Amino acid sequence: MDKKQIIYTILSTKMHANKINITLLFLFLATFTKSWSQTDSIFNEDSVDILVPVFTTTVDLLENESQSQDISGLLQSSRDVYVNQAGFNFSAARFRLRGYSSENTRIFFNGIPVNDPENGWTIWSYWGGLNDITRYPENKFGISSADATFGSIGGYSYISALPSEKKVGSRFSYAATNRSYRNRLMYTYNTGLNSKGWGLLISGSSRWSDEGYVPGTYYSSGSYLLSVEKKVNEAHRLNFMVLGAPTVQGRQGIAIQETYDLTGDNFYNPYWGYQTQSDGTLKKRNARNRDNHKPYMTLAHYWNISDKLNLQTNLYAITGKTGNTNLNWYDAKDPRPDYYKYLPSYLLNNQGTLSGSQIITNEEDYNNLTALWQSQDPSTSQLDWDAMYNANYKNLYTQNNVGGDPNNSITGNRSKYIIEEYRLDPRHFGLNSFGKYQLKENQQINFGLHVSRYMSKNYRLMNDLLGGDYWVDIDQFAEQDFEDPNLAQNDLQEINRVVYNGDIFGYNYNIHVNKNEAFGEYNFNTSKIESYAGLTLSNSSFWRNGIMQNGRFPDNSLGNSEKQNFYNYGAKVGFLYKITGRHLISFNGLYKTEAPYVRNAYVSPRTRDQLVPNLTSIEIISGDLNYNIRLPFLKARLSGFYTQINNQTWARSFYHDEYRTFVNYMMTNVDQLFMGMEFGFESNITSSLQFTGAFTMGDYLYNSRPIATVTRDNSQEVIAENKTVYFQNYKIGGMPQQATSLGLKYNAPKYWYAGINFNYFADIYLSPNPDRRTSEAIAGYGDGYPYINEIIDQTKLENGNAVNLFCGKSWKIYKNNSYLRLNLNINNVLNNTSFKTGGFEQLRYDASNIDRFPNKYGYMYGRTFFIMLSYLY
Amino acid sequence: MKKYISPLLITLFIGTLNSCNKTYDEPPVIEIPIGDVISISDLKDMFNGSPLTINSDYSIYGNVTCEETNGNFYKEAYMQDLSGAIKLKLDASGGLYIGDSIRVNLNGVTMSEYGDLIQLENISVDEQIVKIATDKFVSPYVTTINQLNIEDDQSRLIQLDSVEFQTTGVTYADAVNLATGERYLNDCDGNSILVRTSGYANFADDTVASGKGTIIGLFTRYGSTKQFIIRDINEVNMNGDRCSGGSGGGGGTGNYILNKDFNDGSITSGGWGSFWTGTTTTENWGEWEIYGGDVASASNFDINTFTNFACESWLVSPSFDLTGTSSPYLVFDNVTRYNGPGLELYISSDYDGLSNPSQQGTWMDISSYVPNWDTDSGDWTFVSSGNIDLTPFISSNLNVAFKYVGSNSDGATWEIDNIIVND
Repeated sequence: MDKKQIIYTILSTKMHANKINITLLFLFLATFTKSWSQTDSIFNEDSVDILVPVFTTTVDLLENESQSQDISGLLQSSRDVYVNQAGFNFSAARFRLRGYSSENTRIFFNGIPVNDPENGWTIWSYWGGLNDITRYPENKFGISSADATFGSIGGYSYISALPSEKKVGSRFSYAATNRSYRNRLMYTYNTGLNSKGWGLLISGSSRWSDEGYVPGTYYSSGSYLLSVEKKVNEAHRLNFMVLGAPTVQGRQGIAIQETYDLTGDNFYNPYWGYQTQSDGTLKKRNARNRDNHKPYMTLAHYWNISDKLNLQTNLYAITGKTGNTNLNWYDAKDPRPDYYKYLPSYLLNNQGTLSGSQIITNEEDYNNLTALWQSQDPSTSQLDWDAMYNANYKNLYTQNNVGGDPNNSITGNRSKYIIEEYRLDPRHFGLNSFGKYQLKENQQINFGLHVSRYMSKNYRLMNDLLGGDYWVDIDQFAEQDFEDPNLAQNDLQEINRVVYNGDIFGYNYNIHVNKNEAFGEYNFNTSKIESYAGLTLSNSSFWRNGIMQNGRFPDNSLGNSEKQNFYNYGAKVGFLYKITGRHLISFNGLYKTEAPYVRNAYVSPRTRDQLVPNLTSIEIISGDLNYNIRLPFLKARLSGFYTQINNQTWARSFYHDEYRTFVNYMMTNVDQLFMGMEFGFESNITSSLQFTGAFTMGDYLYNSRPIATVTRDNSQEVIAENKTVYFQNYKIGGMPQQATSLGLKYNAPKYWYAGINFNYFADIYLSPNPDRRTSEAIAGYGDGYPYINEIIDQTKLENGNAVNLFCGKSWKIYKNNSYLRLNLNINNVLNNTSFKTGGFEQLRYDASNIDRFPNKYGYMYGRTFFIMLSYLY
Repeated sequence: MKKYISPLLITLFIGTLNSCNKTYDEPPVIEIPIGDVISISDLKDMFNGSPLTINSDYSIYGNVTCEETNGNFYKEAYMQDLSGAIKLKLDASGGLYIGDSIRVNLNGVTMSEYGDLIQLENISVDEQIVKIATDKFVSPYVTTINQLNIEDDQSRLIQLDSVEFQTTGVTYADAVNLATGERYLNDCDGNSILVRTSGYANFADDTVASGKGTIIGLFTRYGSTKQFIIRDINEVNMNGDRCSGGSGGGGGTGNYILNKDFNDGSITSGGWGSFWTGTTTTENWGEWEIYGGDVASASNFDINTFTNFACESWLVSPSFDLTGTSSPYLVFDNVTRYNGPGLELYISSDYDGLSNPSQQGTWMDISSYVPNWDTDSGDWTFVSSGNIDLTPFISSNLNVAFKYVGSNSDGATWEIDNIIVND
């Protein structure tokens, strides 16, 4: 058997298991007996990507203000018995409803579609701290009928910020916690509509901590929202709204298990180090800072054209900036403390030994290094800022031919280490208009049109020269790889550009995405039946406009690239049958195509406009079957779902050890399959004691053998083409594929409550590194060699649990009709700090020694609290 | 309108409470002490052959003569003052550039040697080196291969004029496998120096300069072998006419004790001898002759008549001297086909250099010392003999000889090439 056959055989076995699962699934649905399933979750590898803001390691359960794909904040208020529990209790483990990532849920903030046009994601932190506004959105889960959009498979949420639709009055609150921030102050004021038809809603907050739960992290965030409404007459209402949440944050990095074991801390953070201050004290400084401020503005017109027809139209603008900093260095040693050559294991594995038979090459060095790590010597286990500054202070250098002028030279301290900032500044304008037409008493048509013009400015900014005088804008790797010095230039338009604080360098390009979409939906309801059918059509185009002419890619880096155009369509249908008013059965189905997201479309947009080969539209096929019970003492839902998301594209860049160069790795034809069941119930045991539960098990996996193309990052060279990735039946990683929550809540008549929740998570996998699942990766091993399994097997994490307590009390202050409320939540009461909620296989790997670049893991936070006092008047 | 003012102010106030923006002072400069200043030559004089660690503040001053930018140097630099030059081994890559005028604090540094080249180990550019000025370029020392003093001139920046690469049409190094390349650079007097180039150099896959001319680089050594490292491919200016004829080529050159590659088409050039006894018809059957222009071949079989002829045929090296070597060895390439006696290898310390070795000299048969004789595998692929240890025979006036024997009934064909004696 050749390698391909071996993999195929292994995978066929897994495939077989899946077929059984499908059978079981329908069996389950048919008989309502409890059974099995497998779960899978993906930790998004982008969480470490400096460009793309994604997960922090642990989602902030209560506030959902961490920058993440997590949308549980919206879902907590869902009236669905399963979704509101899952949204609240499962988010600690990076749970995703039905395994979907956030582009599959469409969210509107007061009429503004807020899914990012580049990748489809919704980043909650752009309006973090406006909890008083976002607390009660309109939610539809899964495939559903919707007012403002055709929607997608994950559902639909609409957050309103109209004074006329929010509770009138003021609310002031202070919260103390020990998560990413420690203090929060919040104030909201709403007039409602006055007699002249004017309304004002304002909200603001501050959240901050000098150091968060994880060492070296900090948080400093404000937020604001202003919404003015004017009711002109019964037919016309106008609204203007602006919001934003300027946030600066020091981030947490996840690391390999060795560093956690050495430091004895599962929240070890390699991103910070001490910096000596002028008074001689040491101050913690984080190298990875996030600085976002993305204001959203909209002007809306609400128009009741007739009793039967109404129309809402929003003009909107989204601007601002998002920035992420990181260290960079030139001609100097890697400053990262967890670089693999600085760890004790390097002294073991350096010999290329396989796991199990390790040889210590130098016992004394090994013991010394281990001792330094174990004592958490700050210059060993953390960044050494003083050393970086001193390296810069001393690096006297003469740069000749500055700006391409042979007579221009500069002498000074050329920085070896810098902090650079990756900026992505959106400039997004659009018009969104949607309405309802009541055809007959039981028939309604929803319709809408959305026109969006999006541009993002992507560039690198010099954030801090760290004590040096200047930086030169050349690519160090290209300088060493190529004789022609022009190849090392990042911008041929200005040779040897000298860079100072605040200058743009490295890369500079704009991404444009234009989209027009329309939808229509027909609803038909009777006393026994509720049904809908919808259609959508869209066309979209994207292109790149390079502002720099890269020396490696002089012909395809500058100026506008070719436009990519896509026409897409979709259809959905839903049918609910009321057996009785207490037993309901429903079915929803959807088929649609979607243009590929521009974030995955370019091989390496920072340097050139080369497209991923064979870019095609994504195809989504999905259906679910639901059974709802609504009894006085029991509300429950049981569902089965089946979804395929096909023809996806995957692109990453990393150092490839076999090719010995930095590569761009692209996969096309990536198909994913999501199937499973979910069950939720709420039962009132007595009038004051409520018993709740949520359970899901799914099977989320790769359903194709993608084709990979590998190119060199700094040349036009195609290293490999049509490489088959044996991904079929590997699990999608990064989330639990099985989760259970059980809770008890006591509502006392005297305005207090208390409760407990037990949560259990299982079937969490690491996202597989595609290149390890190719025949090339195991080409060095004979058939049946057991080491092959270490390369190709997927890592499954241990199951975990968390117990949460919550309680609260409210007092009514009669003299001015106001309320005082106190809430306390304690999460992970048992302080379980050994639950790995995610991680990833490093893309860099050494097939002859797979432990050389081990997996990275992130852990669920230990015991945390959140206590809030609020005053409503 | 008034009633809106206080909510607005409260919001504004609350929204700005968080402003605990992080700022940091620049950390203090860590000074690098000067201590006693010493010249590079005096420093090297302190070296007595075993590693020496300096435990107080000594400083040397000098100018940097190479840099890592083009990949030919890795974690190393060379510096020189008026008294001499020395190699620095760096604890990390990068940070020193040609023309840097530097001071190196030697506290904690170990002076050692590698292949007799003196070096300073584990230098941290950030912690031990102060840059005083830049673009202070050292002029290369113009010299000849012969004049180079392996002790005093080591690590110096040198310029050689009127030199050429011995073998052309090859690359400086193996850029595919990232392996170091070794190319001989000759002058027209037959002197040579080994040019070593890293496979990581960005000019590694360039073809070596084909003409004669000037080259600038670093002079190093490995034992008694003179070596040369190019620091910048633009400092190779060798486009002139090559040395005409002369002693290059087939006689074999290089720093080997003996090097016979037959590339000049001659069996006997360089002092080699061929002695044959046997039957002559159209030719002397079994006599050593050049085959294909560049290998030595012996065969007693006449393909036209399908006849073997009895013969004895010797190929004898010039005399060589192994005193002063530590582990000398002989190596050669060989290939055989067809049935017949094996080729034999002999060594002698009393051969007169003139007579037929079958009649003069005490010849010891060392055929069985050869790790790898070719066997008739049906093709003409040369195999290397592997190193034949000559340590037991160290003396002056040594000769080695190959003896080919055939009979009237059989006889193989033997070919040999690239006969090298080295230490």
